[in-house]
Amino acid sequence: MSTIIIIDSVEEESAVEEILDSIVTAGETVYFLRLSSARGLGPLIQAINPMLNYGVEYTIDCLPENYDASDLAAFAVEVDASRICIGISERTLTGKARIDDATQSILLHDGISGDLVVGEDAIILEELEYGQ
Amino acid sequence: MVNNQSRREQRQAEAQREKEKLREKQRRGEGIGWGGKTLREQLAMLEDKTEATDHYAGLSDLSMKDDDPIRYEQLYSRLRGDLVTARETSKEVSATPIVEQEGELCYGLFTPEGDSIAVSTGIIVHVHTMSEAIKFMINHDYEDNPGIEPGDIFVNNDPHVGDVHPCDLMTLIPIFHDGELVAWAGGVNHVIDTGAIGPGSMNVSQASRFGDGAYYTARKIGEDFELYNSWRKEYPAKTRTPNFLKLDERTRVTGCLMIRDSVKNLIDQVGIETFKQLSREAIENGRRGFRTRIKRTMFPGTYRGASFVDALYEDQENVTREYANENHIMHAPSELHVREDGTFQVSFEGANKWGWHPYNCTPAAIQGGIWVMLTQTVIPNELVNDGAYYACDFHLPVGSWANTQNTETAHAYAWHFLVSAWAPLWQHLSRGYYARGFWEEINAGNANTSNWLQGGGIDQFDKLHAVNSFESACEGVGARYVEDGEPHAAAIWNPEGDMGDAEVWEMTEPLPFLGRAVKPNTGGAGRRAGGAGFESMRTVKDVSRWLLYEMGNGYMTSDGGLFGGYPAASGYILNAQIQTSRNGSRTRRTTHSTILILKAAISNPKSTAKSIGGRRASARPKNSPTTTCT
Repeated sequence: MSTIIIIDSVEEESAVEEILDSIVTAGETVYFLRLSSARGLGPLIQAINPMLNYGVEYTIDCLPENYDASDLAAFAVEVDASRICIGISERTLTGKARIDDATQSILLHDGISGDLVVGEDAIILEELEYGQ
Repeated sequence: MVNNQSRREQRQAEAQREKEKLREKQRRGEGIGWGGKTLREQLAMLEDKTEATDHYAGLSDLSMKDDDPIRYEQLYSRLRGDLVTARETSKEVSATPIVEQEGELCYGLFTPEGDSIAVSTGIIVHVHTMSEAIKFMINHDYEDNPGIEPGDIFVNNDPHVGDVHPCDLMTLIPIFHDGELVAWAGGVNHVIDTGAIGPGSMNVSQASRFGDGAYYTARKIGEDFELYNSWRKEYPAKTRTPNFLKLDERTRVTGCLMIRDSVKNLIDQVGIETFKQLSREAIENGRRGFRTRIKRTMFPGTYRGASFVDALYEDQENVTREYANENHIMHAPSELHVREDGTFQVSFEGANKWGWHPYNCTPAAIQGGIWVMLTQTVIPNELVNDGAYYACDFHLPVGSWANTQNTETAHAYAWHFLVSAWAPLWQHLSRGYYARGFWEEINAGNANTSNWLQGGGIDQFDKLHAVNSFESACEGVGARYVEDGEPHAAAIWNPEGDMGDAEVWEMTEPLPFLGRAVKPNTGGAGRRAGGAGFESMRTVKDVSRWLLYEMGNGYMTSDGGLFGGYPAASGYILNAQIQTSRNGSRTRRTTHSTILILKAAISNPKSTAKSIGGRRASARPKNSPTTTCT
């Protein structure tokens, strides 16, 4: 099993913790995928210490500034990801998760399908299947 | 000249090409680290993996070393040899006897994350202080601002960032390959004067950092291998010895560029992946080597000791603040925990509070201090690098002299406490050696290398100048279990003890030698005596305005002796002054001539002598504090 966690801000510590706590199990591989809006994940990794605290192997990669969902899909296929997770960055006035543009583009992409799970701080697309 | 010019242009052209590759990566949103990571991401992953796996960078196998050990040793020895060559060559650029004669200079090659891969000989306390400075830059996002790019030059001398004291100036140069940061070259040397409130490199009259002299906190000072014009104007104006500092900087830059060239050549020959693997494995190998050595030579358990040293300020006329007018005793309760797996924890729990004096330490200083000790004890070979750091833990109580966590504290002569605090560590190791049967390795402890002669004013050339005699690098070695200590040959802070030629000191200091000799019977009494120290007698000549002062040893010995041996002596200083009065008559005065008899050694309180105007003679007999074994 492997998981892609898309991060567009180093402020998403709670989302990453939720994913590592309740979705990912020790021994799995996690791909932290940084969007250009997040200059670097150093502070986040230093706060979380994924290997030390959660026992996961991980890498950090970045998507170019003008990426589209195809770039993400290509990455997911390349690493054969089982899940794609993304932090909830927008909420309604009552606190419900709002699907942002990035999440929507992934959900609408023809090449990826899966089960959508909405957590406290993260949205998870799991049981991924890849189209042609 | 033509060759120098073309080499410089060649380097600048290389830097431009590298920058273009770097810009391309940045346009893709990538960082300067490996695989497009930012440097801070790379450091965060390294720390996480190292802590999680208990192997540096998660390296459980040393595949390169195991598959072809001869090639590994060849490559590592080449890197290390090039660092030593850089030091030996570049120190001739410097004009100060401190560097050229004493070798107060060292170089390191560091990973992008700031861990030392290999180090030169010399003052390798800075193996780790430079590491801390690099990590500071990474953790404070220097990659974004001011940027870390090919051809950049950085300087640091801030102890709170990574240094022992501000007179150790370090130069750091990043090394790039294909738009990726692959290493750092770093060099440090001890300069004569940093513009403190008093002349000399380690002034002791200030109460806080603001009298320590200029602090340069991990600053970018050049790009395209050229120093900024603003920097070239700034730092010489902040010292009493601008020309010496300019040459010192050229020394460090020369050495760093030699190291950069060496790394680039190695990468061209063996490929970047081999270099990366080598750099990782060298540190993991250093970590394992340290633990193996500890397991072999030390008996598991807790070793306890303590050391004290005094700093006398009460009623000193030159103290800059009234609240600093008090005497201090540094207490360093030292515990070494050696575990069965070779892990090594040093604790200073119980150390007393920092003070309004310049002897405070930062964690970088304490941690760095272990390297100079280790190279003279546990790892007396070329394998010292930050692997040893990863094999050690330090417990340094916050708010103590060993970890002030207060940016107001002064650090100009941190070595006074640092040297004293490390004294029991030698004894811990020696007790371990004794238990394991390595009797030849037993050493009663290092000398307290204090009683520095410093000063400044208008020199024999009618110019503003400062002096800082480094003869203290030639104290006696502590007594050994099987024989007496080596005479006048050592300083804990520089494994290559050398007092320098008198004639060379006289070229830069208006203090001609009247005599210099081995001082017999200063090694203490006992079955095994410490090595004898030396004495120098100097006079002040042809100055129009001059301030002289000594600092360091007070009444106390910081080294307690071993196995019932006698403690070290404290030092003594005798200042005699002959001053011509206005009517031509001469007065003679001897200052601070109290003599205390302590076994075979003679001690005297710290003395401070000042003279402004007139002529004076200064006699400065000196002994070496050493300890004995019985």
